[in-house]
Amino acid sequence: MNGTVTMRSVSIIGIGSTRFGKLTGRTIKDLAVEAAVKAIADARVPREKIGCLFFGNFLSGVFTGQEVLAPLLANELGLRSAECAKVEGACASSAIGVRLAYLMIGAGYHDMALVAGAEKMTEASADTATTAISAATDSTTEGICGMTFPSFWALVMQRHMYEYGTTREQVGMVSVKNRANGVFNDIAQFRKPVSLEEVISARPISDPVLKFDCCPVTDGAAALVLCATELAREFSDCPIEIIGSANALGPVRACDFTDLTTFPGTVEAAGKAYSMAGIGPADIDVVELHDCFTMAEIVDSEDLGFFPKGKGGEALEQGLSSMGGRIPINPSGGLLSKGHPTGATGCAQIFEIVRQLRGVHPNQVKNARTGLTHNAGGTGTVTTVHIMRRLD
Amino acid sequence: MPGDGMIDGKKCTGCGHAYLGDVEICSRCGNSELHPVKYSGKGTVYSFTINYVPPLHLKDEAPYVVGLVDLEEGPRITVRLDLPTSELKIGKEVLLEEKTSTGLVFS
Repeated sequence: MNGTVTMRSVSIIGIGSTRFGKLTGRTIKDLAVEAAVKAIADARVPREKIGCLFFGNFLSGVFTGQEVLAPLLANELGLRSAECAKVEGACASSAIGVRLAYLMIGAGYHDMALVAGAEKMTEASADTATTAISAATDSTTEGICGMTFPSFWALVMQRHMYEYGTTREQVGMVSVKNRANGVFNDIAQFRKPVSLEEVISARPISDPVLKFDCCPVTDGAAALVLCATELAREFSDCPIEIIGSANALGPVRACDFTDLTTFPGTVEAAGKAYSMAGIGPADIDVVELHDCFTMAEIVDSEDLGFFPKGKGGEALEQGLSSMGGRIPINPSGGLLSKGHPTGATGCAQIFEIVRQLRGVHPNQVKNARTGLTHNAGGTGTVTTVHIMRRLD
Repeated sequence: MPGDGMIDGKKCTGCGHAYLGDVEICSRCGNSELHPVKYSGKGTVYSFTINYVPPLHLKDEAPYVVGLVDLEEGPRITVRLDLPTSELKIGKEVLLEEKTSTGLVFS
């Protein structure tokens, strides 16, 4: 099985999202319900048509004390005939949910699926959050040594600067660019720009990773309705077809990367998704990639094939990934501005790309017809890439 | 004294890949025959970071340095580095200083 099995075409016909941010007083259940209700309304489908529900979530047990999220949501929505499951792959949880729904519909097992993702993180203390999120490293080996996610990305950054001459300023420009994009996004957590000076003089988190190099903790939910493309026109004027979908494995531990400046999971998932879609990086008009840390965007932009290895910092400095550049990256503001409710992010990235391909995004990339999302869990140990195109 | 410490590991009898700690199966070649080895505790720094925001179990230690060290015998391991900031450098030669309940410390 290499992804070339005959599958039905699958499209996205409904999208919904809550606002992202510190949403005091909201529960993970009501956030998920809000996003799902919006997605179902947007898809204009009767609820009984939804055959399955996948719910992406990373840490609801630790953060909220609530589990069984998938059947909880199915019951709230009255999806009596839907089979359902929670999907966990750290920060890639809901993109994996999208892939599972894609496979279910593609294989003909169901015609329609709901995928939701949610996380409620801001009510935990910073200590609890740091410790909980570190559970996505190998906790018995690296976690015990004091490696956190900012530390992991600091190790990558140090090495990328050493090998390729990437500068502190170039890395900081990721934050400046994405915060400038976030100003336009009505649902983003941060809508205020930052200057390069502020970014590179901020307090250290895990040096050389500073405050503005890190995405925030966030509450939020996003949801999507997927449908067999042959039925999609009954419900949607503008179905967005999934033409590439892949999920690949990378190392869990930093010490297991042969080369810490490239992520095998991203390279493999992107290769598979491009090959399925029959296109390459040059055919992509808009990208939402996993900028959990500034350094991640530079490495990912190289591993996804947009820029040669080692040139990501330079490309960013030249504005190639800015609005109006050759390949706009994270016009939503990315995780750095929008926020990163871990379990919701995979669906939220696709939500943004669908808005772009429908031509209704508040920070619209001109004439965007083909888009890509990249959602990485943990240290890139589980990485999902989706490629979508407008059908008309 | 530093450098005298020995670190337990395993080496694959098939492909020769070296691991830290007790490993049941070689993730490179799938072989399940690995024999125990001892590493000298000498290595060079592959990368490092000074962490100011620790997880709960190291709350009183911060800031501390997390490093990746390439041992002479091959494996790359994740450790803490007990070095002044001025000596933190990729390629720096380091020795095992201490085994603690929260991992190995090199200097």
